[in-house]
Amino acid sequence: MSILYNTDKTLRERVSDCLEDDFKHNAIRTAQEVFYVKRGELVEEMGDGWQQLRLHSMEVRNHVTENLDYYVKQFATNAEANGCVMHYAPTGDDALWEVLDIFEKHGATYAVKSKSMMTEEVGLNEVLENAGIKITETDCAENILQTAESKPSHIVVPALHFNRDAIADIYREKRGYTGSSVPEEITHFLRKILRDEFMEAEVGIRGCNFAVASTGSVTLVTNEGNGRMVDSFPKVQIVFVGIDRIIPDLEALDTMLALLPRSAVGAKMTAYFSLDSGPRGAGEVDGPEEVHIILMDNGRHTLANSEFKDMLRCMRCGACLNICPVYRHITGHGYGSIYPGPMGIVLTAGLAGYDQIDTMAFACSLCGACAEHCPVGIPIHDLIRQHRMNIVEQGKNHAVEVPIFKGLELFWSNKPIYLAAMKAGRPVMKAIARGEDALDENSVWIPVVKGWTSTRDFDVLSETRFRTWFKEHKKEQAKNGKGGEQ
Amino acid sequence: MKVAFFPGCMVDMIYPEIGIAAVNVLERLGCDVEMPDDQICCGQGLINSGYRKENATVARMIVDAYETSEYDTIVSLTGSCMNAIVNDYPIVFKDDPVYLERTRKLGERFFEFTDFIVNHLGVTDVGASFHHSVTYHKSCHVTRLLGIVEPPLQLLQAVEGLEYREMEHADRCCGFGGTFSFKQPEIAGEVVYEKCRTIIETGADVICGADVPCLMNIKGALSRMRSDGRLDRDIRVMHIAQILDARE
Amino acid sequence: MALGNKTLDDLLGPISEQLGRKDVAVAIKVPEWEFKAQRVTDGLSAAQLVDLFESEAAKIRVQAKRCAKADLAKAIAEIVGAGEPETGEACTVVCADEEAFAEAGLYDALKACDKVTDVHVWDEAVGDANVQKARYATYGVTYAKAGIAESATIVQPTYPKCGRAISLLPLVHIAVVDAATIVPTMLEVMQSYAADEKLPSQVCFISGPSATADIELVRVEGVHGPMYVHYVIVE
Repeated sequence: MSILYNTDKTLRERVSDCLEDDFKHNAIRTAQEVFYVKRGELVEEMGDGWQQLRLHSMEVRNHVTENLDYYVKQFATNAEANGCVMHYAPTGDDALWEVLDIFEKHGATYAVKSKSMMTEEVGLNEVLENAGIKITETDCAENILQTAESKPSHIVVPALHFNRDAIADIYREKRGYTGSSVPEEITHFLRKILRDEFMEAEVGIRGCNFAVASTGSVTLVTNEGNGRMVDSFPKVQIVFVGIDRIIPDLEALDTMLALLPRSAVGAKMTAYFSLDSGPRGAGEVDGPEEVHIILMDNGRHTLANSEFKDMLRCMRCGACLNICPVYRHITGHGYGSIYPGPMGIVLTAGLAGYDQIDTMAFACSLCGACAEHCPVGIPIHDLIRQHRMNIVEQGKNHAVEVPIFKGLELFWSNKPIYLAAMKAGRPVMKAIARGEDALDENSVWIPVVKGWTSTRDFDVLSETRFRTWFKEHKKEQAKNGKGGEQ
Repeated sequence: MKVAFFPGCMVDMIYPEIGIAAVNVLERLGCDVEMPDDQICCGQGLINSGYRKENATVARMIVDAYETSEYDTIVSLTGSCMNAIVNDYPIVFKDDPVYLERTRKLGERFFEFTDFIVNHLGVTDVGASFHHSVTYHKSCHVTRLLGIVEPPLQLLQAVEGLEYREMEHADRCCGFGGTFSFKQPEIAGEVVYEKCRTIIETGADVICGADVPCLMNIKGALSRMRSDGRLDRDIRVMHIAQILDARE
Repeated sequence: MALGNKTLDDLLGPISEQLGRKDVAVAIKVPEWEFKAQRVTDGLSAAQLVDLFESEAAKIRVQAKRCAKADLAKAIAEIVGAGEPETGEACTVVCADEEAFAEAGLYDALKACDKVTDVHVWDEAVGDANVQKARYATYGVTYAKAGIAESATIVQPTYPKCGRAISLLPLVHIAVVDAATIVPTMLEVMQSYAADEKLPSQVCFISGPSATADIELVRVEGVHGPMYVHYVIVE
């Protein structure tokens, strides 16, 4: 399982690291603003159409989830009829085994890859490298990460945590780059060095945004064109398809494509969207001679027919990241998962399990902005809370917190205890606050309280309860003959 | 008109002045305000932390207290608590069919304070005067989860002398999130500091909102920023009820 | 359980089980979607669709121009005649082998351009040499199957006379679009393909130059594919 990384650190330590990195912090904030504004303009332009498409996408995707076995079978059957070689991977390890087998059968040692979350999920690069296979990431950002041995900080623009100087230095050191730090110059350097690789590589590895069941087609949405290069020149192509990528037919593609680029990057369409149905046809001189589809589950089926089934609608657009107030500050690295942000919490907890995720499910204020912006209407914050409920019900919460919540249960449901605590609480708080009306940073020695007062002042309990005033007020009214029906 | 008032526990514990202002406003608008005494808190901090069953214990008390047929209309001073009762209690009581049914019926009688005044009483000018510049935090639970967008702004704009200043990203989270703000203080701190910076940038004298927890969070952060020098002037934090009750 | 060599049934079993059934459903009830979303193209005439296609093209940094059918060769020669877009130096061209191009006299018109040193017409007989020509070509010229007005997208299928490389490897891609084939949205294109017996090995939907914003969100054009894109709309 390679969904999680940097697990030697706690979530809290990772978050602290991220908050200290001003460049990364600002880069992600800027990215959020840019995508937010562009997306907003396009959604506005669509009027009611946006919501109509959104609701339709939900109907279609739910229908697939409810009949997932049927559609997986239909896709597999039709893709095979198109001439693709099918490989079935109930687990990530099965997928890795199949990929290694393909390389071995071809004696291939060189692959180019177009960004694919599924391959990240199974840790494909590491496995191939250990097997002596050279694999080059060809998406600019992914290439930067691979060259710098870093991890994605954003799902759509993963290398935002490096500034231009750092990127130029990485290529100077590792690839003999001699140019300036101007993004255009670095990018055109990548164009040059990667073009040779596309032409030389024996195998192309890619993902799939949507798999069309009725035609057995796979699709790829990219802006840079690296997906098309991977798709056009290596003789052998390996396509990773998650069982949650399936849509029923071509018409549904229009709905999904109306939603995806607008939500992901604030564009009506990306530069390239390709619909691939099998290897090159008779008389064609480019395109893959062999297409191998790795149809992978890796835990996704457990989400079907569960509390988290809505998550199977997710198309990895990143809209929820781009609006999330927490992601904004802690970036992808804070979560320590290749799937960060709100959707990442739901998916990571669902696939990796509660024992693995530290306090990730609690790194969310439940503000609901994610759900509001989700193009396929996933109630993301509700699903995050559902994970929390499951964590508590399965006893995977921290033992030390249980008495606190049990105490709150009692305190909020028993009036005498509540009132007694109020009465006793004020003088104690006043004393800690040295007579002031709020606890300040001097109170951080107190467990639990420090959670608040490390960053904010905490107002002390009032002298009288509101309910006491209210009773007096009603008595006063009765005495003066006020109140009652007017 | 007779209304039952639901202040929320923070008003009872820490900010009675907000509750007093709200009762004043409602009474001035002709309401006969009642309040059951056997209620404390909606308990959403429990379910939001994963403690659903514990929340049920707390929620039963709220349902019992407000269910009485005497109250056709219940006014909630805090949007967040109302959202918990209306939208979360059905989850809290998912394995308790009796309370599930009772809470569904109860939820229909709940109104958020500003929504009640504008859409139920049909009033936008409550006769307040407040000669200050004011910015309004469009809290997540009122704005997004309850869908109450216009009423607070309509009420503020009708206040004599009030100069409204919109903050950037007014509808973004303040970082409170219940126990989130205790469990993840570093993150919550960053989020609320950013909220405060947008508040400060408006130059407004007053920040107001319709959700007490957010106000407590913002007030605590502004106070900290004031004491450590990040803020060089006083900004008052008020519930919208206090502005509607004001004559200044 | 041993790794690899899993069958489709191995994959389907757990899914069916999770869905509460023993075997994969043989037939399912597909809902009749009563669906029509409002789109910006609603109610536009054919002429307005072409206008929208052209104005949207400008937004995605495509240079679009219109020409009469008889002027197609001239219109393309005007673009190519300028030579290398940045330096104005000599250039080479790779074209799809289209009847419409031959009829319009395009190949001869390009060869007649001063700055054009080589015009290669895609030819399946020479195999990979086509790709090598495209790799070093300045211009690639294709005839799109359709245009999508909403997003200024052209629909470019692959077939023996038009390889993938033509619209991908040259520095500049010139796509010819027949105005009559410009449809409102992707839906119409998909419906048309859905009616076909077999899909091409690839249908590429192209909307502007290859681009990235991966370094500090600065937009850079010409990453792996063309740096410049022209649409020539034939009326």
